[in-house]
Amino acid sequence: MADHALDAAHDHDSHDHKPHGWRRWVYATNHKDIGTMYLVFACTMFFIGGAMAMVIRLELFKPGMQFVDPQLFNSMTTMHALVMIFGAVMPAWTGLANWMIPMQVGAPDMALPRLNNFSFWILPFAFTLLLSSLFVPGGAPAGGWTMYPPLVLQNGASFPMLIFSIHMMGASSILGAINVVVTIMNMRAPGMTLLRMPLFVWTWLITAYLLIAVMPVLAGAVTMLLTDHFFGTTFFTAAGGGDPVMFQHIFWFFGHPEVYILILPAFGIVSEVIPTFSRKPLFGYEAMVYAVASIAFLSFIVWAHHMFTVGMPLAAQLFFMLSTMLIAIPTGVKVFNWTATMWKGSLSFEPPMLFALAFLFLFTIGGFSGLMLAIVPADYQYQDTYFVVAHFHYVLVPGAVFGIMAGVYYWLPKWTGHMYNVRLANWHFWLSTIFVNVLFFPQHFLGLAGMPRRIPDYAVQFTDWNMVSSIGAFGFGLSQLLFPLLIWQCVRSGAKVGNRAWEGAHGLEWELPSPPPYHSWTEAPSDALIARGASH
Amino acid sequence: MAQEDPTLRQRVRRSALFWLAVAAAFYFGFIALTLIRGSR
Repeated sequence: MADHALDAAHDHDSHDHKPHGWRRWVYATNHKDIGTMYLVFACTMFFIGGAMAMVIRLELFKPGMQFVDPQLFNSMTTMHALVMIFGAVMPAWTGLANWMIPMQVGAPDMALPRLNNFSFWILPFAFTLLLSSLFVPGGAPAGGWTMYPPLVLQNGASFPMLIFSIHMMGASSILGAINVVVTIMNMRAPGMTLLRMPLFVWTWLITAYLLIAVMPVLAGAVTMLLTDHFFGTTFFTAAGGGDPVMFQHIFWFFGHPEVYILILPAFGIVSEVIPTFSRKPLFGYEAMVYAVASIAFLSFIVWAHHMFTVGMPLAAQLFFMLSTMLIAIPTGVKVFNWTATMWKGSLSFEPPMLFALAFLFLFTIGGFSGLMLAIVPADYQYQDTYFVVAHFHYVLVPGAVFGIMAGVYYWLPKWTGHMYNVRLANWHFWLSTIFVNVLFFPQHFLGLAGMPRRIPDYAVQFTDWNMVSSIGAFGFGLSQLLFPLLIWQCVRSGAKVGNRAWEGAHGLEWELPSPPPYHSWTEAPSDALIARGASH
Repeated sequence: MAQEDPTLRQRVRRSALFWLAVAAAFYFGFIALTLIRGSR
């Protein structure tokens, strides 16, 4: 439970030399300030993308056309995905990385602070451009976030805006990833060996390598779309000797590792939270590291499971089916180790632990439906139905988003020096968990019954479960409003906490005052401190 | 502060340049390939 005792007075602010006013943010080079900006940006995008989801679920509440025309509906599905993936989840992870990696490895800041500033400030421009495409003739991109040609080439004025914004997001991610790799490889305190690093740092290191490897592939793919549209090339046009299926191969060579970019840091957070609230070291630390690395490796050789129905040789289908199923092995190792960590532990259920436990159960449901989708003959039935929508939302909402929530609730007392309202956080957890299941579980039934995805209207037999799903969506959306409220309250008037906000917490970040000094570790932590933190 | 250590600064610079070169080669390499293939 939280240690609310006021820590011994610390005068770290006297060495801050931090700029004030708008300069502090626009010229920010401090890892905590940039982390905060990433997190605020991600939260804003979460609500913008969430509002788009509300439009989608409102239209699907009952059959027939109610509120939006089909073009706007398709724009909403496309923009919801782009905003949530590139604007909410990825920046939230980068924000958490910025806040935590220097503190966890014993460094004063990130290795490349100006690059850090640049990586962040690209994002508001990218998303202003993308979101402003809602107001151009022809409307926002509406061909799905996967941007398959030839459909995407039919977009109007929004098409180049989409391509340019994707380039900017990619550049931001790559620069952020370089910063993470360089920080972890060079800025670790003496004694912080690779196998003493916290799991969150490990998962981010592997995620950063994935980002550097696959974001350029996306850039290449969208550049080919651009030249097909404006410069007379025919990469993806059959009439000119091109092949639209080639785009799908290139896109998913990026797209599948991207799924792991979204989820691996959540594995890291859960691996921090569960030991803390089980009051036991993580079970099988090294196995966890190797499992994450294996998952990352396998993510490069499974991409075509997203496109089994395009017509590929049987041998290719078999290869991609079996390689996909292989991912269940390291994932199983992780789920087993998290469970074994709790075994005979002295468990308590504070908000971060609740979110981590919900992650464990609900992400596993997403994993199992993924295994179902990996079976080629079964996939012919599920392809492009709501079953797929249910599957990836289980992976990304109670998976990635709950991982972010667990991380924020875990480290918020460290960042602010204040404890949040635990009762309100518990309400946030229970409402989110109940409604996320009401929202997404019925979509499995809709998909199995044959309801296609990305349609604004549907046959009447799908009405009941769509109504249930929409009610779940409204409940989930409303309950998220508690989150910024709770953070605001925490910053303004939360009870003071000591260095170690959670009694069972281990790791270098808990050796620093709460809130930590402007430059995290100005003196490298001692080996004894590092050894105490790395008690896995 | 650790960042003021000149050897560390040099290591950070080398490492950053290396990874920037890798990423830039990937990024612009893919785009260059696109343009070269497309202009045939």
